Amino acid sequence: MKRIIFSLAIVVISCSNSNAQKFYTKNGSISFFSTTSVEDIKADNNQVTALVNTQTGELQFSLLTKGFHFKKALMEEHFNSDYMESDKFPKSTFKGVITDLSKVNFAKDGTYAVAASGDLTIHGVTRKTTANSSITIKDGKISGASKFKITIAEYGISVPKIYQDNIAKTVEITVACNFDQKL
Amino acid sequence: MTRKAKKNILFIILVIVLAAAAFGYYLYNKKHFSVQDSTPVADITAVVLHQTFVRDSSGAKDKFIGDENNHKVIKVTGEVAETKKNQQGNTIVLLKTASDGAFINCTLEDSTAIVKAGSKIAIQGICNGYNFDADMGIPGDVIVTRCYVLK
Repeated sequence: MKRIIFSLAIVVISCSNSNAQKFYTKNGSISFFSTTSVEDIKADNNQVTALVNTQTGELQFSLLTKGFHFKKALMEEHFNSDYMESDKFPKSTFKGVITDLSKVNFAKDGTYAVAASGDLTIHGVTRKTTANSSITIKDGKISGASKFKITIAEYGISVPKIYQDNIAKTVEITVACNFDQKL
Repeated sequence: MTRKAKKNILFIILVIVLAAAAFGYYLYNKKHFSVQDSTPVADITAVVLHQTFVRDSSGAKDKFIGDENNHKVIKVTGEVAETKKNQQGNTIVLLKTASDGAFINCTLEDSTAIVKAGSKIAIQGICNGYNFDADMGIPGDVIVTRCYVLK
């Protein structure tokens, strides 16, 4: 009986240890920026759920497409209905890893350049993506940032001819998350 | 066709072109609707709102989330678990639900509102949905944006 209790205790402790390495936020920020000679378009989503595992490098993001907010109401309508079809594809996600986690010293303040690689799903299309990113440690708190470009046609997003001069074929994605919660 | 008739036709075409341009300009610069002045489609507690999304996701979508062209505004009442600022400086109010670690995640548009943890409040805002991903193992929040605290 004692052995069983001891074994169970080991299992519980090891589970809690692996969980202790996971940090997350439910209010991370992801924005995108499109620029053409006709106009600049920017939208922000500040309700991104993001998770990082400091032991394994696991990195995940999830956001609701309808959470993107634009300066102009018409842009927001077109984004949801014509391009992202947000009723059909309500979420965008990233599931991957920090490929060079050994570069990060989570015990020492600093900003560490890393690469994140994994599956990026937008508009129902999943593609392998690698992005230069950074992990910042300050006073024991972890934050992450990244900036990369995607070609919207690769995610099945088509722009009507009438708007092709207004929307860039390649848009810039900016990620900024403070992983302030411990799982 | 007489010269006068031609002139009239040209005038009508000009009016139509100008009207179309004015309408296009109006649409392009149309402002976001006022969440504060909208009539909510639902008046619900934070606990029930969260439970509805967890138990009947499809039904909750129909009730609380607008379509691709129109947002739906809801009124949510509940106890404030925590307030904090996001990276843009907007106040985030987390309303308690029946599930540990899961909240109604409200981002305020109103920068003047003062909200204290532990207080019971009513909030009006746009419901964007339930952000839950089983792979992450994080309790999902119902996301409400452009919120105003009701007096």
